[in-house]
Amino acid sequence: MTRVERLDLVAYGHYADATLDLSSPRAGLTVIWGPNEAGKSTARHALLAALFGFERDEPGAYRYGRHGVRLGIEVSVDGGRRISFVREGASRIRRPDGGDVDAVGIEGLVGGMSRESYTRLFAIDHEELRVGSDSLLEADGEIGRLIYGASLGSGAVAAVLRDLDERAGRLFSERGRVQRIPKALDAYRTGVHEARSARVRAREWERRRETVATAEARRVALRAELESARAEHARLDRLRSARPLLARRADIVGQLERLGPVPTTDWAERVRSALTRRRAVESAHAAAVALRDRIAAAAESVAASPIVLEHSERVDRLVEGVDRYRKDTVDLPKRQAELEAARRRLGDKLGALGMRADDGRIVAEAELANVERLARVHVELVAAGHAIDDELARAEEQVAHAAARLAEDPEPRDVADVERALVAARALLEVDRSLAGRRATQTHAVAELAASVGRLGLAGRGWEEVEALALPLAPEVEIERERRDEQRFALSQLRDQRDAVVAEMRSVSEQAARIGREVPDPDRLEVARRHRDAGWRLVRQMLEGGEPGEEWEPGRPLVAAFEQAIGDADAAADERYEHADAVAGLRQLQGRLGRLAEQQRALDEQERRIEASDAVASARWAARWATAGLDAAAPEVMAEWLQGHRELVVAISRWRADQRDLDAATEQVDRCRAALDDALGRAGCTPVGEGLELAVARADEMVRAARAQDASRRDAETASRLARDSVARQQASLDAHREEMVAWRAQWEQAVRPLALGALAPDVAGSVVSALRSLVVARADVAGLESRISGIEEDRRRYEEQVDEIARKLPIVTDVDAPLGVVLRLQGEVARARTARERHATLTEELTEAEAVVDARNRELDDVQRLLRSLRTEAAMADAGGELDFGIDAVASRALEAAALREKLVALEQGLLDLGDGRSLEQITADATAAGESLAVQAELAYERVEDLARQLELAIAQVVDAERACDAVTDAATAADLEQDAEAELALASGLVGDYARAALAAEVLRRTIAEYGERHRGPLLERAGALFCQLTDGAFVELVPDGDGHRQILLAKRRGGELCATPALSDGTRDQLYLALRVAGVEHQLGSLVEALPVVFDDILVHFDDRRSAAAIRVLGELSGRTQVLLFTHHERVVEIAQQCLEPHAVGVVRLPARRHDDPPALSAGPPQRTSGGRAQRDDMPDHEEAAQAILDALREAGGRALAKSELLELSGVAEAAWTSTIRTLVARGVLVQEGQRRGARYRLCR
Amino acid sequence: MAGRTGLAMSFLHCADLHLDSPMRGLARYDGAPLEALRGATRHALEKMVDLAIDEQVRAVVVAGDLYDGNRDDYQTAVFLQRQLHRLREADVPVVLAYGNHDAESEITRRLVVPGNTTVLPTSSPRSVVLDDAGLAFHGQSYSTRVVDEDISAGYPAPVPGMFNVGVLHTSLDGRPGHARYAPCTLEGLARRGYQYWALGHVHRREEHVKDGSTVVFPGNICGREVRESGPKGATVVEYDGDLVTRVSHRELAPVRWHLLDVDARDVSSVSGLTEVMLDHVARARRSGPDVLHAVRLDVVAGARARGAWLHDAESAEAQLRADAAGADGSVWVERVEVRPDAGRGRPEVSGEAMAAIAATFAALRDSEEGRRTAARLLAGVRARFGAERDAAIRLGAIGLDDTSLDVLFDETEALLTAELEGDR
Repeated sequence: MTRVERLDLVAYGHYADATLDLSSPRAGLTVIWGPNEAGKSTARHALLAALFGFERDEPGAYRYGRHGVRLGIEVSVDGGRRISFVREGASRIRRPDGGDVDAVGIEGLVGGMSRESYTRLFAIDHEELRVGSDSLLEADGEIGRLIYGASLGSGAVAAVLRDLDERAGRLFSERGRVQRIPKALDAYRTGVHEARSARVRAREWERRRETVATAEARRVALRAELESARAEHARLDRLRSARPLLARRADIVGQLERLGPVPTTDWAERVRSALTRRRAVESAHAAAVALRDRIAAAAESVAASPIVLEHSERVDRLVEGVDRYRKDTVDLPKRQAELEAARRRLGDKLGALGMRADDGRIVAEAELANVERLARVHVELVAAGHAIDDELARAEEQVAHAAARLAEDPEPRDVADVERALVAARALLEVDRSLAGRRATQTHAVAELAASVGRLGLAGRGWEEVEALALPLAPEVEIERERRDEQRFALSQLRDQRDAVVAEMRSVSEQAARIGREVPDPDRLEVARRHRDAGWRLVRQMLEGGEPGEEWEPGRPLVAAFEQAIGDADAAADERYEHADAVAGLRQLQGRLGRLAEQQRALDEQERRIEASDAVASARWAARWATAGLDAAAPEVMAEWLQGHRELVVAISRWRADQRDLDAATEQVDRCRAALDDALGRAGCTPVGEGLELAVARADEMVRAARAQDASRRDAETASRLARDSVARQQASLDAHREEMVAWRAQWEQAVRPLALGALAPDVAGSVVSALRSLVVARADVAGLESRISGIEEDRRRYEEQVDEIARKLPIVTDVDAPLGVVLRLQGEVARARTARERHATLTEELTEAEAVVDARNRELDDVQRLLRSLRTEAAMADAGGELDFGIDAVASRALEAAALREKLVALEQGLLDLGDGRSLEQITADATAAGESLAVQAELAYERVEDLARQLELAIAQVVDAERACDAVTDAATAADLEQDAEAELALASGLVGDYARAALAAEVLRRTIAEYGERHRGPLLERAGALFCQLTDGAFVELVPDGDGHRQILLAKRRGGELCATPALSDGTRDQLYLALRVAGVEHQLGSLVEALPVVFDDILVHFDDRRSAAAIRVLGELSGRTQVLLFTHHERVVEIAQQCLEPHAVGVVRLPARRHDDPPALSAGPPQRTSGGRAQRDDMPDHEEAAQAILDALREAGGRALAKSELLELSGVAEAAWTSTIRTLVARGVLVQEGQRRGARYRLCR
Repeated sequence: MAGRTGLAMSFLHCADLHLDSPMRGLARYDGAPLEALRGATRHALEKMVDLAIDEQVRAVVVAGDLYDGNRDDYQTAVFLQRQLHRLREADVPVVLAYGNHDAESEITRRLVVPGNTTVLPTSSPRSVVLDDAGLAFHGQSYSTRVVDEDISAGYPAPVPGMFNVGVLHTSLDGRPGHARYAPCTLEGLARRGYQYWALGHVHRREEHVKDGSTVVFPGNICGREVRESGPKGATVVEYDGDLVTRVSHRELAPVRWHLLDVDARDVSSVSGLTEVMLDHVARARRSGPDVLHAVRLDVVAGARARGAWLHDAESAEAQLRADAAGADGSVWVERVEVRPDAGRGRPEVSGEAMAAIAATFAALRDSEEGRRTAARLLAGVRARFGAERDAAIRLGAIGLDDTSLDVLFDETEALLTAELEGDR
């Protein structure tokens, strides 16, 4: 049995360094109780995670992250072995002391099962109970599904089956048309058909093109014909319009001929305009002459001095130099003082260098720089020399140190043999460590084997004897069992038949007796007949006219009596007839009674034969077992015994094999230890006979020491070699440095020689070079100042000479001596001369312009005179002394008349030419004459033809457009190809869906088949056990579970204490919960039987809907189960704890209390859900109001900030109980407040946006 | 050699247009880019003509198979004529050799080509010399659907001083998936002395150089199913005198098919599978802009993840399609095949009840009983497919033929295991 002894919640969920001690009771129910939010679900998840490893979306990783979670667990297995390990991070697993663990061994602890499989098989929670209870309704009590579901650990088998059927049904059904596959296929076929219809065949295309060509040709022909007709009609129309114009033209031409020659119409106007213009020009000419004369007089009055103007530019230059002259006059004494100071500084510097004032020696800058560079090189060389000396001393010291270390280090020890032996020994260490445990296991196994031998009633026999027992084979037992079954069945059948025969005989006898009583009396019939016949005779006598005789019966009329008699006779006859069958039946019954008696005798005989045969077979059966010295029991018992014997033989065989392995391993370990001891001895270590592990440790230590010695010596040798190399390198550096110093000295002496300062030490070279540079600068300052003073004096002298020269040439300023006064006077004179010159030039320009105006007026006067002369010539009038003011109006009137006629003529002729369409006036005249009188009729006919052709052309164009459209429809469309593409997509869809359909249909078929086979195989024991559990859980209200139905379908009925049978749908919700729990626990027990090591079983809040009485019953069932394996019951109800403690023995129940989460515990996600405090205790689990649970879930999701959460996270954060989960979450999803992502276990929930 | 100076000399080589041949395998689901798929081969040809005009190639040579052999819709021919006219207006000559599909086509017999287009004769090889371009094309069209002799052996001698191009529709010395037509060898082609062989028929692009002769299959112009994956288009051949200077492939197809092998053995959930698949899809998307990527994912997954996927494969695929499509809808997941990890066998089950399921499958798998069971379950759907059954099988429909029963049993076991394992 695998037991969880302790669970360390180091870092998981909200837990930190918490421990759950699950070690007690050793055999009993462990109740894990915690108030709301204590972390019950988290602890359950942690238990699973510790056993099976973390999941990718581990519920308890929300706080520490996937790589931060950490759990420790201690597990014990049969034999008392305890295993502890720690899981941390996503996948790491290790021992608590940090060592590696055997992952395969850990998997073996849980039977190689996955977390999902374990949860499904061995964990039952409230949700499963609810689903399973519902499935009882859904499966309608069908036994196969219930049994299979119970073994599978799931109540949803029926739902899976229904889901598969529905899925297949949505995709395809035999005759369906609306399912997805037929629909897609239909769409494909329709698409293919439409594509085929949409195709344009080549012939069709050619026909369309021919239609276009024909229509186009007709359109072109009609167009040409229409143009021709239009031209003819236009020609005739033009001729008709031209005729009146021609007549009017002839009339105008005659009028013009009558007027004769005349001037043009504007002649009079031009004459008047010319005279007006001549008068205006004459007035302007006189004004221009007067202006010219006034300007000429003004120009003569203005004059300027020519000599002043001649020297004006030199005067300007003198004025510009006045400021410079003034500044030089002020600056000259200052510069002379500066020169004196510079000469004194130069004298001081020469004195400092010991040079005379007249020493003009010059040292080049390059030479000074060279001296400076060599001085710096000297400093570096001296520093390098010191560094080399230091390094050399250090290297020599290292050489000495390395030599001393080599002298101290001992020679390393040879441990190659030990290392070889050590490799082999390490490989066997694990084997050696396991030897003790394996020996203990073997010893334990011997005890178990002895117990098994005892249980089989073979105590006192040796193992070989047990193995060698001459026992019947399993088929023999099976044959015997079948024989007995058949015999029992035959006897049962026989007895049933005999009972049936006896019952039938009883029934036949009763029927015969009843018939015998009912057969009527023949005498009564005879009397009735006589009455009838006597009556008839009387009646006949009366009818034949005779008198009636004596009354047949006194007081009764004859006829009535007669009729009565007839009726009685008939009734008696009928009664006889009816009972004739009964009499015949009676005889048959009597015959059958005889046959039944015979049959009964035969059956009795057969029973005796069977019993005799059974006695013979039983004796043979007993004899078969007696050879092995055993008393034969029923075959079922003996089959079980045989199974036990087989297991015993296998166990013995396994024990022997294990023992052989153990012996071999021990021998191997001994050999290895001997080899290691031998190697240690050769290496100088005396063996002391300790165990392999200690020997390995000693060998390890020796090898490590030898390796350290070896490494140390190699290090010392290397250090010595390196130090010697370093000494050699430093000495070479020293030699090179000396050579560099010699070379520098030669360069230095050569460099200081040009300074002529004698021997110069390098350390003072810098200050000497600076002084020399300063001397050069002082000399340059003195030279510069001398040059500048000389320049100023020269400028002043030249300026004064120029002033003097100008003053001599212009005597107007002889009264002033100072140069500056002379210049100012000259400046004034020059300005006045320039003003006079500018005024004269302006007047000269104005005079030129006035003379040009006078010339222009003269030319205009000449033009007017010429124009007047030309007009006189135009009118052919005699010159009347130059005046033209008579006869103008008459001439002008004729000219105007002629002009009007000519204008009309031009318009008429233009009109005719327009009508003529390019023909000349003469041709038009000739055409009009030739057309004759029928011109109007011809034009009308031509117009009608044009109209007709235009209509035909319009139709032809429409035909062309239609035909081209038909072609364009082909050109632009890919209709058929598009339809084919769409159809292909439908076929692809249908093809893809076939796989879905096939999988769903086949899965449903396989599931059905498996359910049927599994149910058939396990129905008996499982139902029996589940019935017993159901009886316990219902506290005896139901006594057993009974199968009912035919071979095709069997359903489960629950039998009440009073014998009433109930179908599962008729059970109450609570009872159905208990029925499902009974089936599940039976399934768990069945599964436990197939495991090598029983695994813990976890129940979580399964008693939520159980009252106290049934809770106690369930606790007792769980207590009973805890005798087989560890049972953990998680609950948040303290009442459950109390009930468990009341109804189980104290040693059979243990309670582990989870601490309530403190308010200062960090919440999983931000602040967590709001706390409801009622009576100081959170009550979420008991919330009757789903609205409150819904609100808590919504709060938790809001706190998560939009992240989707799994069910476990939501329960943890909201404090909502699992009991309220399903209905609450369904409500929220149905309202559209939440969105569910994923299905079932993987589902996550988030708020709708 | 006369020619347009200042421009690189080039011609364009394409083959296997298969105009208006539909895409196969892209199922009609919500959001399927059917509009983008319609006329994909036409769009590719239009782009090819654009390319020829933009790059001012000296000629276009088409090495056979303009359309599928059974195509009798003249709309296809009209479209082809319009594209040839566009090349004529751009003064680009076209040399056209009919292939096996063209030979059996009704359209071919009635196709009227414009003046810039020379159809190589079916009776014997012929040379077409374009002096301005310095090009000499030599080739022959198919007269019948089957040509089983090496017609290249009879091609004319190369024209001296010209760039000689052999045009041939052939499977060369045999190519998987392609019928054997006009068999020949690289050595034989090289012996003709042409500088370039413009081949057609093989839909996968190949480029060989043999004894100074460049031999190229440009592949088909537009992939139509996942077997025709990768960038599809035409080849631009640049030449200088009688030397090939550059051979470059230009993608023209508006749809690019991808067959992506996805190793998802280390994931255990549907979301993990989806994540890995989307990574591969994103890489495919980055391989080429401005085309629709049609993707088939061949995924190897662990038992748990595979079962979870099969549990609700349709909605999982729908979600994957939506995620993969991206904002621009440039990816369409054609199909997802989630296969088991061959090294891990079938899913491990725990408990007797689950073992019973495995036992039932074991009894059915590879047995006559299993085949009978499957045949009985699928008889209706097989019958309903009728004439389309073979086409559906080619599209990968599982269950319609007995050869896919192993896969069916395997997938169903994974599905049922997941359904039963994951119901809590």
